[in-house]
Amino acid sequence: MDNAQLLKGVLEGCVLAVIAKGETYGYEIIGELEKAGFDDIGEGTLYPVLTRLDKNKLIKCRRAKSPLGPVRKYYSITDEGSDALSDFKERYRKISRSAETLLYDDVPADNV
Amino acid sequence: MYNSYMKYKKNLVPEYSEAFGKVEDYVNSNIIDSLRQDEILNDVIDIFLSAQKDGRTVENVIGKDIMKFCSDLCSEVSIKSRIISVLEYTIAVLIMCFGRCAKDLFTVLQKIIEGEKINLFTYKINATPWFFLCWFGSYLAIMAVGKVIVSKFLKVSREKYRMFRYYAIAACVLPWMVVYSQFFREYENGTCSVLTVLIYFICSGAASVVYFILACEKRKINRERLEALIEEQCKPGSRSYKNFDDLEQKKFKNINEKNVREGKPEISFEEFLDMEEKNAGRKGPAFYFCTFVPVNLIILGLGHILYSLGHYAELIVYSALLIALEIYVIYVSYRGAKYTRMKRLAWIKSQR
Repeated sequence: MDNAQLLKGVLEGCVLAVIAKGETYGYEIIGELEKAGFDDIGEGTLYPVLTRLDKNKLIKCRRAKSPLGPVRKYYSITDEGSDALSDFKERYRKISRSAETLLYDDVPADNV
Repeated sequence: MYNSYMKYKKNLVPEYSEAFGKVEDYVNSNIIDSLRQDEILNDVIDIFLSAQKDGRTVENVIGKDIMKFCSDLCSEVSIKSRIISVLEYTIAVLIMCFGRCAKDLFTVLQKIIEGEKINLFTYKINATPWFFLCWFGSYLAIMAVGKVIVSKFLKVSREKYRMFRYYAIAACVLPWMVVYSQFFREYENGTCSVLTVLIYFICSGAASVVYFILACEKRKINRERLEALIEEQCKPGSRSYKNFDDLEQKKFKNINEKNVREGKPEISFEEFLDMEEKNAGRKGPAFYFCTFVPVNLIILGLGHILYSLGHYAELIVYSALLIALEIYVIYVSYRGAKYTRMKRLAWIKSQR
């Protein structure tokens, strides 16, 4: 089974959660994801996610000069983004609970 | 552009520099509009520089497969972006076509001015629409094929890629020139002028729309970059800040001294700033002198030559174009200057 597919469903929500904590930029987001345990998220996977979130108006971006020189995009979350995030958190909690009861037999069924 | 990524390429260590070169070649040869390309490359170079500073390896940042990295980067591209990218080329082609078509259209215009009766529906001119469309279409086809070939060959080393690119271009242009010379020798049986003119104006209209869309988007992005630049310049301690603030203070002092001399009341700094904002776009007489005079001299000179040669049609068209260009340049620089000044004044106000 494809790891990429599993990741794809979850990644948008996680990136949105990182941005919700405060205004941030690409490299920092990768760092946060790595700290949480996502090992091989590179800019290649991240960039399309950020583009999609921006297109759907869940985040907004501001361009400023980075201390290293080139123009850097700083992302922050919008109101629709916060709503979408809490939506996603709910749905994810439900799905993961159901999946856990099936995948790991020793976990008792938890009536949500 | 205020801050192109190219300036920072030299800050990369060899390992990152090579990887970035490949990414750059891939993105530039992909069918995305130039604005997105610039943005993507800026992002990538920023990440590379940050990772380099932290001491990470290239593989750590990109993953094992650079081709996958590149294709992921360019995956979320809208159709609009792709269409704009294709049409960006057409602007250059249309300008070339204008040259080809113009000669024939001038002949028609000249005859009309000289009083010859011409029925635009039956008068035949040389440049047939088929010639036009085939030339145009083949040019687009070559560019598209060239781009696809180039992006597929990214796996080889950069030197081989560079060499190959020129061979690829030569290989495409050669057959095209053969086709051109064989098929379009006999086009004296032209077609009606109205159809040709119509096709030409439709294409020009499309090109203008594309240019307009691109200009709006670029303006939006440039505004944000300009704000970032001004903010940096206006940081206390920076040289520009000191100069700008000094300049405003001096002006303020001069105005009040003048007012006192003439017996008028002194104005406050706030009133002074409001006044400055109103006059934000105006440039000194020296600016207008230096732009207006040379351009108008050129127009007069060219006009005189064409008039004496009897090319009235060309005279009219070129003069109109040059005057339009002049107005455009002045308007754009006025607007740019006004915007910069307004931002700086707003910044000074916010500091008080």
